[in-house]
Amino acid sequence: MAPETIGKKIDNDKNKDIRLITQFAGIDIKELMFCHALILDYSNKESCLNLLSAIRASSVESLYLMPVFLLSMETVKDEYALQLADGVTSAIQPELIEKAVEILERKKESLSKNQNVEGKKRNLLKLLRFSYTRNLGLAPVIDPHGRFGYQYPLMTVTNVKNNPIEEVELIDTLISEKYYTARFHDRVHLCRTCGSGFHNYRETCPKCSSSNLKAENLVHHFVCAYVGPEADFAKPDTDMLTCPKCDRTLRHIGVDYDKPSRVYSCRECKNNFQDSVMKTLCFNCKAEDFVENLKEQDIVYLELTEKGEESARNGFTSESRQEITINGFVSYSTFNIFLKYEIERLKTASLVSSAGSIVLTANNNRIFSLEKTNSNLLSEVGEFIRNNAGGSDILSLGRENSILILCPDQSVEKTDTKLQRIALTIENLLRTNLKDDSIRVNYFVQPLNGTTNKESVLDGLLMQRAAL
Amino acid sequence: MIDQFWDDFFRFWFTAGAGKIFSTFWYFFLLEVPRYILVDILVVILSEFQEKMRWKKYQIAQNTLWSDMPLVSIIVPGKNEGQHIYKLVTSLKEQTYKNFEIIIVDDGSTDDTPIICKNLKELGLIDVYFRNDVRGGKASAANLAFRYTTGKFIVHLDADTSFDVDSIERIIIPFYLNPKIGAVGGNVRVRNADDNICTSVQSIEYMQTISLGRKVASLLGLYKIVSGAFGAFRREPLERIYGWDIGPGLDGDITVKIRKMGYKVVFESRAVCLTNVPTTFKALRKQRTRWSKSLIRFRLRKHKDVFYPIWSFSFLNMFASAENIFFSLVLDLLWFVYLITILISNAEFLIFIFPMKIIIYLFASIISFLAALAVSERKRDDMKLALYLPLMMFYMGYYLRFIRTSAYLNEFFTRNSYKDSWNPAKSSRQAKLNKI
Repeated sequence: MAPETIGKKIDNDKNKDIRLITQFAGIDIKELMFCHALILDYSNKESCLNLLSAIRASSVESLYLMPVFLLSMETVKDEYALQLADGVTSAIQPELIEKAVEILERKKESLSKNQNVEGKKRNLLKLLRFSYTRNLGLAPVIDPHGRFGYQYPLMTVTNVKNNPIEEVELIDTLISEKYYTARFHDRVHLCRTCGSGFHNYRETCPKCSSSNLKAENLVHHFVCAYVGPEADFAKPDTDMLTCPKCDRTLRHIGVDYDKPSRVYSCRECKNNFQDSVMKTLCFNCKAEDFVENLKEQDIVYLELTEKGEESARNGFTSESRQEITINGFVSYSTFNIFLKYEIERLKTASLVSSAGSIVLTANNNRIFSLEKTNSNLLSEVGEFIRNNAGGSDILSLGRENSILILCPDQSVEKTDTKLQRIALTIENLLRTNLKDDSIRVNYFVQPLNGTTNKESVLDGLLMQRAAL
Repeated sequence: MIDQFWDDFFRFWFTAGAGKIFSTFWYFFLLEVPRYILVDILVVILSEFQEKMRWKKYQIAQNTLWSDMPLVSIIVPGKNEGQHIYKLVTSLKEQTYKNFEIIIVDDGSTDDTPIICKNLKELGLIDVYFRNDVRGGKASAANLAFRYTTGKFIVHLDADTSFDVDSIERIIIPFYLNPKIGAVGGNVRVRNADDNICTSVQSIEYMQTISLGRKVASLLGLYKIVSGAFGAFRREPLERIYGWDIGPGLDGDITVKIRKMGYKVVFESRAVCLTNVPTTFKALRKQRTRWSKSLIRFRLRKHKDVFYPIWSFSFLNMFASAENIFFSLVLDLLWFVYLITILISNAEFLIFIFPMKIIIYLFASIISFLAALAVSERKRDDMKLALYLPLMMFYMGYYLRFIRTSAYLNEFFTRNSYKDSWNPAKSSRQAKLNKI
């Protein structure tokens, strides 16, 4: 149950925790994860979108899959908001929200719980699960502030904001791995250097590449055969054209004169030509290029495939993470089982236990990458924790350089003291040995009792990681 | 039988005597011999002498050109000339004088000209390429090119021409001989002389009427056509008259206009360009009909003011036009009178008169050919054309004369040059309305 201070609870028959949020200041999204659904007041558009984005940006499944509705008296035209929200309502209709929540929850029930995926795979799983639970594809929306003019809102808030090349790569992966099929929506032209889709298209001089050009129609006066740019025929104080050769006034296009073509004059190098060269200047990186050299990128509507649905439900078949083993550590799925049993035990014994996590971060996150080449470091850290944790503590690798610790029969305070000592020592050791002051080792502790929800504990610990 | 004919032939003319020969062929002896044989020979001798006398002056002019190194703008207006353009620019790139810009104007071509020219521009072989999707006519294309020239001298070329390596240099040098020279005509020779009889006889004709004839006219100060195929102009007079007027005969027209401004116009026989001439007599007839109509339309009508005693009057200009009109129009018409007179008054002697005429004209052709050969820069090649001399009387004396006269009368009475498809109808309509 979320704290009562958050928003206004909407009464409903199914007793779901549905909150109407009209005041967005000071809301901690961690406190929202126990809600069943949210209704956000769209009249405060900016704050509403910020909160909506934060919810969908979360890596905590109970948050990013949460049903969120927008309350608005007017039609919501913002495609970005519409893509991230589950719907728009002009009035509080609990029964409809309940129904939507139920549908989503039924879908969520079919999702396997023990997914231990990291990084890009985790983001991919998030996209798949969002699409699967909503029965929707990923639709591109026009984004005048983005890099290439379109964005996939969920993708943008999730992982690749301001990195269009990575976003394009992710889309390519989604399609090539057959999680989604592509349906053509539009085609954009991207800068070869930075991937931006915002260019200044300019006609340039083929000789000096300047865009400081003057384009003029050529005028052919039939009777005297004079041909020249329109300026030659202009006379002050009159709009009529007068032939500079025979001084006759041009009266009727097609009868006594015509405009057979157009000529450009370069104000920089004085070159005269008819075929200007179309070039682009990237607004982002200032790279100049020929139009034909821009990278063509199809903007597609992504529709979830059967494989995508299957992966959304059951995750991926192989994870590099599983290949890393540390002596004394249990697998993430085993840790889940131990946690579940511990909570069951606490229900009957009225005891107190605690769980925590140690999270390693650095500017260069590849230091702790889970790739095989870097697994030694993580293994060594794991060994150290193993040797300094209590003998009854259960350890497991969490997600993204985090280590989960289950401390049976240990109070929060005791576990906090222990993890503080371990985190400080590891941080000093790593900083000294790797000569990298950006390395930080944080720890988090949560109490466990008979009423604790296992998923909430895990999400809480992992969300601490995400919040860093 | 043949021996008997020749016996009778010689007996007839011996009996008739020189007086009879003269009275029968008075047209030849009184009009053609002085104009086309005696003057030519005299001028050939004079010009050789003059060239030797002026050699030093010529050398100074040549040196001045090289020290001045002016930019020469070469303009090439044309329609469907893509196939010739590469050959043209290649021959231009071989020139001894290299400070020039090439401006090509495609006047509504419907063939591959745009593709070819754009490629040549990308390769740097031409400097400016303009295309008008709608045809405006040769004068308008030339004017468009001229409008964007930046050179001190403008050279107008036909696309189907090619050049001796020093032609551009040679055609510019005369401007440094005399600052009053406003235009210089190049020596247009036939490139496809070996194609067939039609082109061979045209090649002899070009030798006599252009290489020699224009040299003569130039020396006499009567030179009146700077050829559109190869002509050079000082920028100033061209700017004053805003380029070319609507054709046909625009090259003769612009020459008269430049002369009227007081500039001298000269012929430079050493500035040689080669061009392809029509390969069939049908195409040749069409070309010559167009050329001939321009005599009536321009010289007789448009520039009749050369005969008026106005501020721009020049005796030489009047004489040049008068000579042109007299020897082309008046004598052609007179020739028909002469022909009819002969047919009526000497009908029974035609069998002796006609062979005599052939002999006389062959003799005249040989002399004329030798005179042209004397000034030719390709004597060895030109010698081969001597085989075709017997045909020249029929070609120039009959074929071309009939075409010319027909065209003169046609234009004089019907003004149908305004219907000539050589110009777009829109331009011809306006030209006719404004009596240009």
